[in-house]
Amino acid sequence: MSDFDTDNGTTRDDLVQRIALMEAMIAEGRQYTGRNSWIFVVWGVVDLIAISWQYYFRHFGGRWAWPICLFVGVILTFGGKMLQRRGQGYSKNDECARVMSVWGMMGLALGIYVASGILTHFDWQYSYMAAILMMIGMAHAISAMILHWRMQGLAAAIYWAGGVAILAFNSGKATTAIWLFEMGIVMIVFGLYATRVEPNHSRATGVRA
Amino acid sequence: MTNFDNNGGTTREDLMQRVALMESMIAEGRESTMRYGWIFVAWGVCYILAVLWSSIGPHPFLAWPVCLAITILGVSVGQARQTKAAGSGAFSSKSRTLGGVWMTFGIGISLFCAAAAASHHIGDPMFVSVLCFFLGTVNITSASIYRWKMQGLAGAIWWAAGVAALFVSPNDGGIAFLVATFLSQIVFGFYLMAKERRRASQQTIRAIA
Repeated sequence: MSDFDTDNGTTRDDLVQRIALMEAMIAEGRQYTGRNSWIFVVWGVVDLIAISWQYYFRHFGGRWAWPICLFVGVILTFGGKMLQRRGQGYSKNDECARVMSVWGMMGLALGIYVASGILTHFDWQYSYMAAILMMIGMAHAISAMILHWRMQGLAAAIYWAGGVAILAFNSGKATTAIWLFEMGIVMIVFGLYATRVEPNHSRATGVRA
Repeated sequence: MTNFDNNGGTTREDLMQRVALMESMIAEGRESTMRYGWIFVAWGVCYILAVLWSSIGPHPFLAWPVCLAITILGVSVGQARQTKAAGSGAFSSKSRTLGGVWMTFGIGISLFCAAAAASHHIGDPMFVSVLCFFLGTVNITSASIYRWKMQGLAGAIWWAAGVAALFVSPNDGGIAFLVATFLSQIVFGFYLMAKERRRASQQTIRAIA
């Protein structure tokens, strides 16, 4: 034991403390995702409204459905984040900062990509739709890996499967159905799951927020 | 000082420990990226050779599969040797997170490319743009986690190429892809290798001293 105790000048106590700290940070990171999971729900609802508007109310400015809904989604997200930051007990550790970096950069990439696609009228292409799902899947996968969170890993796998399925089916109807399922159902269900399960998980494990 | 020392049950010592841990993790993450600078160069050379071969060489349909297979094999062997040479203790949890970020990106882009190739969507104007956006996003995410401006610049160049590919003709889009490959893969890769060499020589000097 003595070797282990003083390996590279690091004592066993140091290591245990370090592991405990990292575990606490991972738990806090999950809670941070849980606190922000309303954003998933908002985007799920925004996407559902945009799709419904585009397909069922196309005579009421259907071509503006996505630009308007995306703009409203961005405003709601920024507004909600600002309100949240003003609230009590808003703090974030290194894990939270990393998760925030992943989602922030993914959001920025998607914003530029979607805007460019709409402006150049390439937004009808299947590869355009599939790439959006693949990018969201990547953000979920990276976040799941940072937070060691299987459920988020599952969400990533579902998004990736959706992206592959769009390219494989190669049809407008299938693309709409997959898009509706991924952006509406999966987004909202994961958002609600993260909101409800994480506080319970934290209470059960006794991790302090 | 009492408030600061005991704010929310977190002692000053805890905070100092966290800051030190975060700083050491960021430094380790950057070092890990520098160790793999050669992979950026290898992929950059692969992209450029594949584009040139598919444009002006014989049997253009073989260009991408052959170049990708050789690069994947070379990178895997090189990485395995590097890991063996460095020993298991040389890679921190943060380095593994970085490896995970790139692995996630690798899985995402492989799935997308395989599905696009199988469903004959590689010729879509979106395809080049999507590749650029994927590469830009993973670089910028990594840069944002490790607060590294140079990698952020490499990512921004990819994003710019992704946007440009949508606004110009397919040929010019290919040129944008090649320029981004040269700057963000090869030049950035050599920059990383130079930094790694400098770090290694400094370590040697310190060890001798």
